[in-house]
Amino acid sequence: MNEEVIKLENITKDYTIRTGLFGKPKKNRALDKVNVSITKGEILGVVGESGSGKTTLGFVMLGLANKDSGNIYFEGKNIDALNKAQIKEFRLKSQMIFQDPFESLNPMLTVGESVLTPLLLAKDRIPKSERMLRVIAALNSAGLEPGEEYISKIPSELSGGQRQRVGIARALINNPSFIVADEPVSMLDVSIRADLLNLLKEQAKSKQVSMIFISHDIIITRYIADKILVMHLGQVVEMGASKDVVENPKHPYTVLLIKSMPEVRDRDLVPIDEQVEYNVDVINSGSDECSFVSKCPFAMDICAQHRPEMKEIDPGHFVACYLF
Amino acid sequence: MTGDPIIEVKDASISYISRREKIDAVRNVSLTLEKGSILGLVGESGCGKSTLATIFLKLIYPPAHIQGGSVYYYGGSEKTNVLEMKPPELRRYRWKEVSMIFQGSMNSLNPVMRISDQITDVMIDHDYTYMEAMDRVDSLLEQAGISKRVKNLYPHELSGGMKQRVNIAIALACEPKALIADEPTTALDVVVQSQITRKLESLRKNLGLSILFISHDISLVGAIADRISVMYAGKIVEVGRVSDILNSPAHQYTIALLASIPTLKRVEEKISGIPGHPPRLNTTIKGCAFADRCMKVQNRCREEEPQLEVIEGDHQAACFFPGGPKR
Repeated sequence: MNEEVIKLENITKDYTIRTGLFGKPKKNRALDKVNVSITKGEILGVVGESGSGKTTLGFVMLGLANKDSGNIYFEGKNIDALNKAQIKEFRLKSQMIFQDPFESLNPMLTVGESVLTPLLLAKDRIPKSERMLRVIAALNSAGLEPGEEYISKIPSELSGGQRQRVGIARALINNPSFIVADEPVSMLDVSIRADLLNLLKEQAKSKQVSMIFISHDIIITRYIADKILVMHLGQVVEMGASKDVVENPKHPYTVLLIKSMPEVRDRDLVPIDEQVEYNVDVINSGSDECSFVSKCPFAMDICAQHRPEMKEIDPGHFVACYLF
Repeated sequence: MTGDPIIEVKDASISYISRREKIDAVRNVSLTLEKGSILGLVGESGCGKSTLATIFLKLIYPPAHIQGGSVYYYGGSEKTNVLEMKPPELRRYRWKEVSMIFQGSMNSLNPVMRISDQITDVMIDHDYTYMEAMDRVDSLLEQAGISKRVKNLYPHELSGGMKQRVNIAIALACEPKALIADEPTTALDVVVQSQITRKLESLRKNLGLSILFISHDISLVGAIADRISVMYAGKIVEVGRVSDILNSPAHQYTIALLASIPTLKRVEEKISGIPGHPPRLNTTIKGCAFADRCMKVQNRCREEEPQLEVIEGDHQAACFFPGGPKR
């Protein structure tokens, strides 16, 4: 159970921002020394605002974006040291579910063809006769029952929720060991969301698939994930069991996130986000400071001089903040 | 809250008519926005909430057609029917009496105009002189909660939250008495979302603005509004005070909708979605529009159409078998 499926060590990733024709390019650090590991069958929720680097984290894990420094270990092996065949194996075992079900399916392919594609990449192993059965089984397990009826449909005949289920079937068909789900329900209506969340949770648990669930909604993440990682401008600011992070948030940014959820808002309290001007334009330029320092009501001198280390304040609950 | 209406929509029906089909997006809807209050309008995508919003300003153009009903405005010296206004009257009514923040309006600013020009534009069109309008820009930006320096910037230099605040400033430019906010915080981060909703709340308090707040997020609406109307398939299915709707919902749709959202208080409970899809509105719906997805459906629901009926006090629902387990 405690087998680490994927482990990230000190991952850093920079994007360059062009500042006009003659301007000096600026550096935007999307991932700033991220350390994280996921065990088998675990769902890790990644929460943060837009621009916090959560999608980049998913991309780097899948090898879809190159890291600048740090190491990624997949089932104990450093992925930089893999040979071609092993990289193919890694790609088959790691899958992604995309945010937008309307754009992530090829409109010209039938549902069956879309779901079959990842299987074809592994074609040396699966006999032809078995392929369609596998597709049907994957569709069934994604809740598109009976799968036979959906195979010949094209995406435009399906609703948003059904399309997202096709995306899930496509991710599940190769029996992956981990899945990155990037905001899989944010484009869907609330009445459809619930069933998809239950489906993802159930599939991860029954098939022992590790999952990264990326979302900006901490309550949905609390519902589905075992562990929550809170990111802010590329830095991991807090990590721990979902229950601990949500019920007992420590880092000022996590507190702010939770206080911003409409149902938590107490109309009489002066909330922390009104004490400081919340400027979303700040970027992480890669200097050695806490990424939240410019917005934090508790900022001290040291916060701008050295970046706080992750500290374990309760068993399994880590916070990167000098307050603790 | 005085309980006096500021705008009252009566039996409004709006259809989208194309050569192929006629879609009844809003079917016989009545809605009252009270003076100085915030009314939340909640519904899933395609339920007609944005279409309903446009009738408040009579912004209905083909293929949309008003099939019937009236919109009464009580803010002037006497009650007037907005739908019967002549173009010059309408021009004065829009923005001076009632203004609107459109859905996705972050992207509706003109990219080649400075912020200050976009704000003064609407004022100059409404009988302010240029100097008066320029004088107001600073205080409007302050009211909307952003620093004055943005007035010389262009939209691409602002973040989504700041653009939305500029839109609030534009909406407030001519000192309207009511504001229609159509999904004003969709596509914004949660922190910014909570700041914008709080801003709207404080505007209501300080300026006595009446606000119609449209959103698909019932928990967000619950946090800001005084009353909630729940819309489904072009009809209002339930209306009541926030506490009534959230704590003892009556219509089966509202009950199912609330059961599909995880909350921090009920986090261990399993949430469940609503099976099926909303009906297509291109045919006449017999009986209750929610019947096919309802857990408690009976024969009567498929035969007869339920009307809004009083549940308790001013809490109304259009359901033959209202209520369920207390939450």
